Amino acid sequence: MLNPEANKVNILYECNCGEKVGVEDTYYCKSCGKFYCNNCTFEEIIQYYCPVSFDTFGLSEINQIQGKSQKHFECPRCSSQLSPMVENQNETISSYSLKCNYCNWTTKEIGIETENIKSLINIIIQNEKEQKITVENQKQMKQLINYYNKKINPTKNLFKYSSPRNSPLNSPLKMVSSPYKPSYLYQPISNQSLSTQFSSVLSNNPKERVTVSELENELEKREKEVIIRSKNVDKDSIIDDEIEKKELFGNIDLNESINLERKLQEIPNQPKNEKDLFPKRIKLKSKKGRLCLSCGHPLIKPDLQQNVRFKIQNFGLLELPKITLLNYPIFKTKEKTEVFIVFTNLSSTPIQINSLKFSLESSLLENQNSPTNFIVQKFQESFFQSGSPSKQTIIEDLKSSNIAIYNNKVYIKEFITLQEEIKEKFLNLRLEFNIELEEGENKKEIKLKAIIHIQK
Amino acid sequence: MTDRLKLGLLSEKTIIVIEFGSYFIKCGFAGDSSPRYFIKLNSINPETKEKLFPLKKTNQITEQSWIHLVNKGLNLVFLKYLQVNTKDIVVIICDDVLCPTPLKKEIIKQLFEKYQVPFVLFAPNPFLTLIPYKKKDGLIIDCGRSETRIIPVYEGVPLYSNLYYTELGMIDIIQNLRELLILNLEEKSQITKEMIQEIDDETLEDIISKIVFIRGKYEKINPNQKINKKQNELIKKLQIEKKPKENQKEMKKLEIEDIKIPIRIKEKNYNLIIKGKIRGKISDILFEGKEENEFESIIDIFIECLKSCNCDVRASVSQNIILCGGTSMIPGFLSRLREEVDFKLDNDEYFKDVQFLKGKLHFNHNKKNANYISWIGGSVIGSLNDIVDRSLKREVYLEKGSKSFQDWSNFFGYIQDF
Repeated sequence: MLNPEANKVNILYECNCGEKVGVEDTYYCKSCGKFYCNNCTFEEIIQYYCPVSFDTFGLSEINQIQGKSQKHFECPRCSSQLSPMVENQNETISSYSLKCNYCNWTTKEIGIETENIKSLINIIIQNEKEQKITVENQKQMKQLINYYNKKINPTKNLFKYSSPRNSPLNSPLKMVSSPYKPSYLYQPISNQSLSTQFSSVLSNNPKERVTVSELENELEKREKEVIIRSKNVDKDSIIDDEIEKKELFGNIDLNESINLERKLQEIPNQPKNEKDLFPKRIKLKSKKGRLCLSCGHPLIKPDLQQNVRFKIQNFGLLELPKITLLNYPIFKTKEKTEVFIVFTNLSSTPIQINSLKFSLESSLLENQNSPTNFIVQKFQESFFQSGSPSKQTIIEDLKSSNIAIYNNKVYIKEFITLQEEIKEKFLNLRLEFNIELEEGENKKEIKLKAIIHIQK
Repeated sequence: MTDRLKLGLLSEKTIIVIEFGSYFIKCGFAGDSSPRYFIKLNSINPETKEKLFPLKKTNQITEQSWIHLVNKGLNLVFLKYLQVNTKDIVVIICDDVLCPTPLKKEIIKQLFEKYQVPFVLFAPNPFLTLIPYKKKDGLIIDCGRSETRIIPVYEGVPLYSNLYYTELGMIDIIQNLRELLILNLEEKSQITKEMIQEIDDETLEDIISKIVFIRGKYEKINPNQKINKKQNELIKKLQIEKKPKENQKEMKKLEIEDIKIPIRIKEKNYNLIIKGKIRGKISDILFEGKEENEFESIIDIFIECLKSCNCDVRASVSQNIILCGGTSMIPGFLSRLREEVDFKLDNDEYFKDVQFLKGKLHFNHNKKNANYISWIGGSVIGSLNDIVDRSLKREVYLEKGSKSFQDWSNFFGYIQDF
């Protein structure tokens, strides 16, 4: 039977970066001798695989395939896997198509039906490449890239100023008319052109001088001439827009129209109706490993063959003791409450725990009565035969002492009295302790901090 | 090793382009004509329960939420969707004009420290939107989810001093829909006001994408305009002729019908009726503005922006006005914008100085790409030969820290060459 109060207690370990995570999100780095959380580790992709057939692909092959399977497709309506369907028209002739077992969509609705599965797959893959929009867009992209690559070509600028006469350093600077043009645009000009443009302003004769407001008026007139010369162009886009709008005036068949989210998955087409949807190739998944951010050593590395095993596995779960509470404590102000904490060892070596400390906000906890140093034995097969004791026997044993050891578990009793009422909805009981881990002949001591998060 | 030698080694490396929008993260590979994925993040931080979206400069979000947002976003982009190893890539980020600085700092920090990316380039969005059009001058109207921004670009330089924006976007259209549905509720309907207020924003946005359009003031087609074969066929289907007088009579015949939409509220199915009168008026708020909060409409801002530009800038910029953003893809947006602009230029005395622009503005609007035009510009820049020279290096960041990059992305190197 499920304990309804189990969700109210949560045990978290504190990483060196300050993040608080569960045991399942911790990793142990042997070279650094520390435990890390997800943020202090770095994930990298090692291999790709198809989620349907479990075929594996290396990092070099992915670019050719675009990260998608070559044989398996997903339904355009509900994105579940499509499976082949056979219909025997005669004894000799049979037609193949793809069908979705969830929503009953078939490729017959698009008009794709063949005598071979191979030809079916080839048709779908060719259609994906030959869609008009994608082909046109790719051409335009290539043109754009070539256009801008020519502009950036560095050798072009070198040859432009090959002779000292042409270089910008020998000629005077032109006065830039617009304040927004960058000032380093050099253009060699003669003194005559300068004088003709600004002669009215620069002349010594006061009658010939022109005021700034008159200059501004001239500039505005020139602006209007430029705009009037340009043609009033109503492009095709405006007409297309109006036609699209008028198609919506009448009654719309909402059964065929697609959701916004689904539309945004079909880029660049972004179709509106289900008729325009096409089956897509299933996306490949990846096997990932983890590295330590500080030293770069691998913490986790999956096996490259088709299985779920690991070559290297330095999970924190395998080294750290599992901390739980035996019962859910009910706290009352100015009354002692018993808290029973359980340490279980899931690893293949015994764990030595040293200098265990409890702490709360200082006014709320009395002096610690529980022991500070003890060993949690490793799990053995003989424990199955002896069995585990019941809760009542454990609680009775703990009446006489503060510690009880059974198999690979250690039970500790501690008293907590709340001297003031807590306004928040939770209580954080902190544990600080050291663990001794064996690495060959050497032993390492690692400091750890854990938090027991109890909700009221 | 010089950067040019590194270029040879990096010529086969993957280059990723990311754009952090106010609602979606668009990501893909450089050289592609469209992003691979539009990623939507959770709008609430589960630990602190703060609202993260829409991403605005005025939003006061704690540091923890920025970290959570960027952490999750980049994790999804690199490891779940694109599936690349980050030690060998170049990342280009389309830098929004009003991108909050803590977001930018957090992105750079995580890219260099956690993901160990060797090269990162921040490119300003207004410059990138002009690249597909092969032009250096333009006025960009970006109608997004939370706000619309108008900024002129002259000789490739975005003129930040002439930036105008209003907080009117898709969110306001959704709220307007909700209010209009409540006002037009029938007495006999099973749906109540409270039930309409409980409908998600996402379902309403979905409804808007299917049935909503923007009505024009004067519905007609210019008779002298040249029409393609495809357009001719479509016009025949809708029974619209070229002559304006007969056109007006047939416009009256084309009445807008009511639509029934099946909706699920509190685990029960209902039929929501949206009347024909409402469908064309839902997005009028963009062109009329909000009186309560004194938000100006798109048109006021557009004309003010033109007015504030210098005369030599205005001449070139008014010939290339680009519409982008998701809300600009609503059918009827362009034609309504043109009509409203011409109307204001005729009748509003405040815009007398700019009256000569009436009928002379040149709009560019590609509906299929409007969501991700700036991403396309980033994709083009990512596939150029000397991208490594222009980007920020990890070694420089690790030495200098936050002093190695600027708040406003500086792109003068490209502008000079283009």
